[in-house]
Amino acid sequence: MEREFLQIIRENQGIIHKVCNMYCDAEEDRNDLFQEIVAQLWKSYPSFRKESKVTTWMYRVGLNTAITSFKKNKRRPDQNLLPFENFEVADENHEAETEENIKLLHRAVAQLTGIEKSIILLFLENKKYEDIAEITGITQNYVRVKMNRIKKKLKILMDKEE
Amino acid sequence: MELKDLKETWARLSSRKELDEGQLREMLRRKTGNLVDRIDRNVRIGFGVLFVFIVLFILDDFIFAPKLLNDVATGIDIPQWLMFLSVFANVLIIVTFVYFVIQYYKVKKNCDISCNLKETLVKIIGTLRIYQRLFYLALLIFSIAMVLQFISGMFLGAQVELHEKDMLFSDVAVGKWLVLFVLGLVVLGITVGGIFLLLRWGFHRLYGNYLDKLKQNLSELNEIGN
Repeated sequence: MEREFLQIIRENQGIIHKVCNMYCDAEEDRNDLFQEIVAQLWKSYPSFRKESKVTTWMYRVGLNTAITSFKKNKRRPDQNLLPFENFEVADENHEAETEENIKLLHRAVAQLTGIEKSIILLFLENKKYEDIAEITGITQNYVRVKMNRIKKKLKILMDKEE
Repeated sequence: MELKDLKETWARLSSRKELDEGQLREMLRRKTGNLVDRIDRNVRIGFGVLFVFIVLFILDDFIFAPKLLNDVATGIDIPQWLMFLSVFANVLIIVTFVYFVIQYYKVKKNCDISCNLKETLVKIIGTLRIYQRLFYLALLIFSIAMVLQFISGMFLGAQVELHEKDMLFSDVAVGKWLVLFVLGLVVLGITVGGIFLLLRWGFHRLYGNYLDKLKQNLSELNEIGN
């Protein structure tokens, strides 16, 4: 079972990285959260009956863990505040522009609430409203309502930053 | 950047950090400091400790105290009304304790970490509330035990004293009983009230912000739902 579980995590660890980068600024926090999510996935793996997709299950556990994590107030003077430095830009031709957009996106997203971050993350990951509703526990209609509100909020935030 | 560019920007990102199976396996070996798991464990330990204390109080009421009384003072019996009060208090404590345990397992079996976000938040808030109330339950149990011990100690002590002086209860001025009663209430009030405030302050300091954050998230989901 452990072998099977590790293979699933290895193949889909990008999901966990994205959740960690969405919710944590400092690298130490991201590493802690990554480990916590892996531990919680392992804990819930025996009861995962494959009724939903593996990625949906991982998003559910990852977001639940990120939103309900307890952070002590640690002072880190040298913390890395740009989590998206952990990501590389796949498109080298537009690297400068994309990097600027990434920073803009990060600054805007950092001002969203925990719930808003979860919904926007799932939206950016091309999850259907049906899946977002299943993961968050709200209806599809209200996913749409919330998505519209988040888009408006992001537009205002990004316009302010530019 | 326009909103339509968001997905494009996001899609261009790919993670630099790829952990191999060995590194992931190493992660599983390490213990995590997950707060909810720790609180869960503490609640179960708390139940065990309280159960032991409840058994001790019952043994004290029915076995140790009567035995001690027989050894210390002959001819003095524990009055019926005190025994009744003691039995009543023990039943109340046991019922409250059992109710508490049932509530806890009801919350616990709701779902695990792979439930949807709303259910997970409800469960964790429920667990934290039970954890907080566990301390108040312990305080209630100790308060009831203290009151009973105080009443029985005062009554039997007075009885022994009066028996030695060949006096009756009615020979002692009502005013003196009143002073004793008020003094007892004040001591109890200060002790129990002080411990209650200390527990409340301590819990709020440790988990207040965390609980507020969870409630805020849940209220945001419920607000959307409404």
